[in-house]
Amino acid sequence: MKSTVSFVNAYIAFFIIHTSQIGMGILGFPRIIYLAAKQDAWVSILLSGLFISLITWIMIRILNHYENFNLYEINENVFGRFIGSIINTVIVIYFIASNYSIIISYVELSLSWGYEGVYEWVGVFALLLVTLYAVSGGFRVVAGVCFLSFFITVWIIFALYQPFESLQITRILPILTTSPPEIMEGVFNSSYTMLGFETLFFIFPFIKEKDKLLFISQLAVWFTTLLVLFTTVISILFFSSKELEKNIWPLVSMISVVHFPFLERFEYIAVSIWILVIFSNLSITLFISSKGVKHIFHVKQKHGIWIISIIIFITSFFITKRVDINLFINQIGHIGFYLWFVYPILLYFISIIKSKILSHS
Amino acid sequence: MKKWLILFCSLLCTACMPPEKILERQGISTIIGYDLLDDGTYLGTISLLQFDRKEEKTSETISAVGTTSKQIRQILEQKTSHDITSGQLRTLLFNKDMTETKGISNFLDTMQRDTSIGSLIFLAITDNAEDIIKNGNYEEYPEMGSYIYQLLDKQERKEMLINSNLQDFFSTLYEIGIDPTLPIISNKEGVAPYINSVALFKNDKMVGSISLKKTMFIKLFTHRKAFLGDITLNIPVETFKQKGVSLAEKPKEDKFNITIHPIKHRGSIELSTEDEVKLNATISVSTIEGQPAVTLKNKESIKKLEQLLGEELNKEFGDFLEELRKLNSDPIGIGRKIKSLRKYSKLNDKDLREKYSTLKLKSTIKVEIKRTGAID
Amino acid sequence: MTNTTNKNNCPNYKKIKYILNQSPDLLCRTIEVAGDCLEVVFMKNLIKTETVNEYIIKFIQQLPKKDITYSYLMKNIPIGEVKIDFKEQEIISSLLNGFVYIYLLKESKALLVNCANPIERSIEKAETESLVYGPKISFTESLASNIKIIRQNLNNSNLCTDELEIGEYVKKQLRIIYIKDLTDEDILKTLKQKLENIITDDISDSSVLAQCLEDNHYSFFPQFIMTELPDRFLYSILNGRVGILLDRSPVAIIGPANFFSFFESTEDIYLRWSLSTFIRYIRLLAMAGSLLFTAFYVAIITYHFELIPSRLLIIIGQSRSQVPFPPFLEVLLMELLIELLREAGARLPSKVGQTMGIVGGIVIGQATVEAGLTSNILIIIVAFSALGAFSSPIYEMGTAIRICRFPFIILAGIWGLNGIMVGVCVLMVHLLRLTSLNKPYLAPLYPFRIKDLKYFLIRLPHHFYMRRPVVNRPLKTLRAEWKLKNIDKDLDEF
Repeated sequence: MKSTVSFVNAYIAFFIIHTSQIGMGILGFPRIIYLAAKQDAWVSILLSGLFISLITWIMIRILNHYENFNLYEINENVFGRFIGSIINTVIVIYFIASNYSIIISYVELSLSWGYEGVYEWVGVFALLLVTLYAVSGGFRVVAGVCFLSFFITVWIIFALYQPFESLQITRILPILTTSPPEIMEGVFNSSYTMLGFETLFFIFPFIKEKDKLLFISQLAVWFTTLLVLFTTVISILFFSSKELEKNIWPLVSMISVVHFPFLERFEYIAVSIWILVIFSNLSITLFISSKGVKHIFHVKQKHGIWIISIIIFITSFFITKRVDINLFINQIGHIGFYLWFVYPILLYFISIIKSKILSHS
Repeated sequence: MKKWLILFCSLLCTACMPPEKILERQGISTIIGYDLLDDGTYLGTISLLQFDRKEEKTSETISAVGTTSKQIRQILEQKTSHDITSGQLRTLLFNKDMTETKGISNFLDTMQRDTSIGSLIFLAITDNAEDIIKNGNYEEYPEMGSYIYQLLDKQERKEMLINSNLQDFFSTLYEIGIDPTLPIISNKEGVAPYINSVALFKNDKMVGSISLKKTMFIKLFTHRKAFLGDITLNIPVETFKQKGVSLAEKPKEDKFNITIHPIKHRGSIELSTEDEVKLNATISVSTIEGQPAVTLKNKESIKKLEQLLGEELNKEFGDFLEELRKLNSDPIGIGRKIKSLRKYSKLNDKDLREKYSTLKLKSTIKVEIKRTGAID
Repeated sequence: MTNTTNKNNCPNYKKIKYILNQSPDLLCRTIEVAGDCLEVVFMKNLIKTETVNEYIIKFIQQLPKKDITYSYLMKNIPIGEVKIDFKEQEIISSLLNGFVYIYLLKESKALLVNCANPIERSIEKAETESLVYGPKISFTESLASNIKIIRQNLNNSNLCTDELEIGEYVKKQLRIIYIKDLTDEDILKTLKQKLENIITDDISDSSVLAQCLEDNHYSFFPQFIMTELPDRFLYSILNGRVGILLDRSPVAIIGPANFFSFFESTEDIYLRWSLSTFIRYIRLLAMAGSLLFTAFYVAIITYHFELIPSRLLIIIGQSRSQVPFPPFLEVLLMELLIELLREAGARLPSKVGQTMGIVGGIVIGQATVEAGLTSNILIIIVAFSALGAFSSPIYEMGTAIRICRFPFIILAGIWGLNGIMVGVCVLMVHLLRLTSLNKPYLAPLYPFRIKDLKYFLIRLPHHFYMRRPVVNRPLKTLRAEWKLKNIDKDLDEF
């Protein structure tokens, strides 16, 4: 007999949450946050880390309250079938859109780095096929992809030792000169990069040791925050301000300084390896969105992933210009902000009130 | 059905290949030089590494005239049977005229935009770029581009030069409060090109040049780990006598020559009052040559010698700073230091330059003799 | 005793001759002792003649008349294995396995005695897996001697050798070998279930059986360890795995296998830990290199020459300058050439095979470079990847890697480095999806078992191995319990 739920150990949640946070965002993140918060960007990141850690705590509270439910089921439970389905549809669309935004921004990056002249849909197509193959293996494989891709790619951080030699400490000085509204704008703008912790809402039922999850998820969130903080601080120290404002992918430009006696132009390798980083992103978003489709429309998940992939593939013919992509990503960042920074808090209070009312009656 | 779909998909993929860049079909440019012509257009010269069937010939030099770098490239492309690619581009040469009158940031901007060009390519300035690239003396290297790359790379590794690659140039150019520097390559009949001096910039325009030796003073404050290069000082004998340093034998000439080898250094820039900047530096050295020999037995005499050397260096440094201020070029980054203070953080480039020209610069260089080699 | 059923079921010589299609090998010796007739039926070539002469015919002839009864013979015939309770079907298959059928005409009862004389190769050194150090004995085609080897090496009462018969047409004995108080029930159950599901006329070899048992039949990767080394077999069994021995095949099957177990050799245990760890990494690196090196060559020469450092560029460029093919074709050509050499070397008798290797390796290699058909850099790379593929101690893994190389080369030819990375993603997902006897294939890595890494990725000194690896879920984990001398002593104290 096969059970429908495959259980994984709690530590896997660390890798899932962390790898779904790190993706395309971090490559361009130092610039985006620098534009808003200047050299005090690190304050914004720490604030946003703090905020996310709070929300993760709230998420765990909600999930523990409903034990073995994922967010789709919780929504239906709290708001009823009709309104719950509407909210779930929004979530599914969000995940499909974010999946597409990851694919298209990666394809754009790789087209700039050595693949000029290839159609966008080719890259989208290849990445979708691989993702389909992974997701059709079920949660166990998706979790495995997150786990392995973390270890295969994490060493890139160590390649940053070469840019280390040309850091200028004075570039981050003087600290705390940016006004609070600008810092808050930085927090707001950082949402696209920092998003990904919401996967916790959906992987929760699969985790074996649920009591450890609070600790593990906090660890994951803070690890990501520190990693982002690290890369951003390094970027600020490495680039002069005007340069940082011009580079679309500061992290890639920074890696381009890395070279070895046997290898020049390390950034080409890094851009290729980045496929593995986004691969876990794509797998987890496709998995979650297809799970949502299953919930709302009662189709089998294995059919859901095909439907979603075809939708994404068709979209890839329409949004291909740099300007459009930027706009699209910004929109997703904003929607993501309201959906995952604001909505969980609302949901928390609503569920508390609802359970109070129920216990009264 | 599903299997066929996958097969079909993979066949579809094979149809969409990126344009190939097979190695031996490329004319691999390793160096590009730009010269400003009298009519305002540019002459671009390029040295191509190409692998033809004949094994003896591996390079070709061609040049073309145009108004933008990409136009020059287009015309160059017409003149060769290989595809010109810049993936292995290692050096960019600019003609002095051009750097002095037009500035080079526009040219460099397209280089940065082009992802096939790495950010580690070297930049250098020369009197006539075309002549250098067409110069046939390049030691054992296959062509001029490789030679110049090796020349500059050696200098960078030994850090005799201030870093001069595209990334460094940009990061100092765009930074408010510091100006870039670039090496000047000199070309003479019958010998391989060599590095002659260092160009000083104000923004992206060259304003003057200093000798290689003087780059030491810049590195003292900008690069903690840089290799300063040996310092040779010629000190009049009288000064020795005044200070009371005893020499082993009586000097035949009236100058005492000493070469010291810096081991470690530390420099700091401090804004002490509103308009006074203190530049303090300490250099740990070992003495490697003294003519005539000097005895370094007791603590006293070493201390005196240290003091003497410090003062001598300080004098040179003071002159150097004045020279810089006259050119209104700030390669040391005094402006950057000022801007990093909370009070001045809102200053823009123009304000900083004004402030720089009115600042009082006070320098102190301390020398510490750490080692004297195998003998005292 | 079921004499009644036996009576009806015992055919006489004629009937057997009929069932066996009048086989000329079937002989019947009729012995008459004081009027009572006995038929001794056997297959001429399958029995040991001396045994039949000495212990059956002579024995019966010397018996007094009163003892020529079924019950006496059954009890006193001087041969070890006697079958008395059988069905008609079994008579035929026993005869074909070298049994002698003794039929008492008077009582119309019969018994089968084993006088088999199976052809047996003497036990020799292992051919496909060779060890430098450690026991050299290898399995042979005979199940009996294989069992003998195993029993001799593992004299524990809990060693189970469950018997099964497989094949409808050609019946073959099969033994499932495991240690009862170590092996997880689930593994055993799935294995038995799978074996029962195989309904086939014949299984030609244990490698065929292993392929039939696999969870994913389309995969390039072997999902069972195939070994001819008893020490490797026993090592696996003792770690809670299950082994299968099939009669008439010298290769044993071990499962569940995981990816990394194909890179460990028993030699790693015999040698010192430092060397073993080093060699294990060399194997893994060689495998990765063998898989990706040629693909990288194609990708870099075709799309990303920027990556080549200046000094190398001229060397590679000059060696490529004569080659008329694009790198993709060049590599395919060379890879196929190497495979061809290997295949020809394997097929030819060993002495000629060596010559082939020299001719192929030196003459053809040298000639192709000089003719300008390929670059000499590529020759080095191809030779390296060929060597790398053979570094896996299990032959099947080596072949899997050799095959896997080609998709990577093709992907590199289409999309360059990104193609290779897409390939890596597919490979990663494939390995994650694979299972062997329902146990994850990438086991100690994912699901991550930190304590098992010392079994599969590195080898530490032996006192670290107090517990069995948990990936096979052994029932007893504690393996050893010896203490190191770690009493807190000062220098120079004894």
